[in-house]
Amino acid sequence: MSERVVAVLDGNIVQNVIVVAPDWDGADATHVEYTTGYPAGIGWEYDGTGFVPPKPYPSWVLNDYVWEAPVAMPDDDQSYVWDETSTSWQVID
Amino acid sequence: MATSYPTSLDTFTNPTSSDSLSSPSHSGLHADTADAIEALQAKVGIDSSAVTSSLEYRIAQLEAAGSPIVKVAAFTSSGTWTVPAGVTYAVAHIRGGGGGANFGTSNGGTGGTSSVAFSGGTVSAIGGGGVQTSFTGGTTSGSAPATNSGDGGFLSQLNGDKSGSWKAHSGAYIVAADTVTPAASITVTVGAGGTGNRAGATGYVWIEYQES
Repeated sequence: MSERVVAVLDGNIVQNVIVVAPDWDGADATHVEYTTGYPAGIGWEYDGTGFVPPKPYPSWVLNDYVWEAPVAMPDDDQSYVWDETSTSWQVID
Repeated sequence: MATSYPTSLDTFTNPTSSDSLSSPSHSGLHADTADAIEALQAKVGIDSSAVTSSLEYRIAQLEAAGSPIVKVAAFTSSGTWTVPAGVTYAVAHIRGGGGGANFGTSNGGTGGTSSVAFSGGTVSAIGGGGVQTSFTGGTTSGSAPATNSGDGGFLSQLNGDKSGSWKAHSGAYIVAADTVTPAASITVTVGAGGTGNRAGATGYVWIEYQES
């Protein structure tokens, strides 16, 4: 049986992530259960439906609670790192 | 010489074969040893003695109390510990959740904080920090940390001629103790593992206490 996990909020910001008992029924405005499919993390923001992680780069856009680069990373044998200045993927040597 | 036992030890003059009966005084020596023996009997006590200063009484009290039994209340999820009857002191072993390891462009999540809310204050063990792989692409593998170990997630990655391994931090481990009151309710929080492609393990709280 998988664990039941709950985000503890201060306002709409996650302060802690905790495991609760299988029969837990303490959901309220500051205790919101989440799933591994739509996870929560400390410092993430709750929008009333799901949890939004911190934005990694100003140009990235949110898609179904996941931040994505405005340009898709090339799918080849090389490794890349995002360069915000040029808003492009740069090859790591 | 009156006996000074049990406040201090007596010193007797032991006569030699050439001493007369008067020096040291034979009757005096008998009187001194008799006083000392009576003092010893009083200290040891009679059977089932009710004299609280006697050894007989004090040993009986210890036997009646019995040997204390060490018990552990183990929490793998958050909850409340109700202090058992007769328990006035407890030691908590607290482990925060492990950090998550993430592949790609974002960091794994920080593990949750575990804590015990003693009456003297809440003691917390913070979760471990997350990590992310420093390059992308290729193949990734890794194993999940042991359940309720508070261990961090682990990832290894191979892409062309580049390879590496990344291990998120384990949750902090803290031991703390406090006095407790029987029947009191103490809030226990168990931190979750940080999210990621390899999530961290949940922490734990063990509360150790003695029952007679």
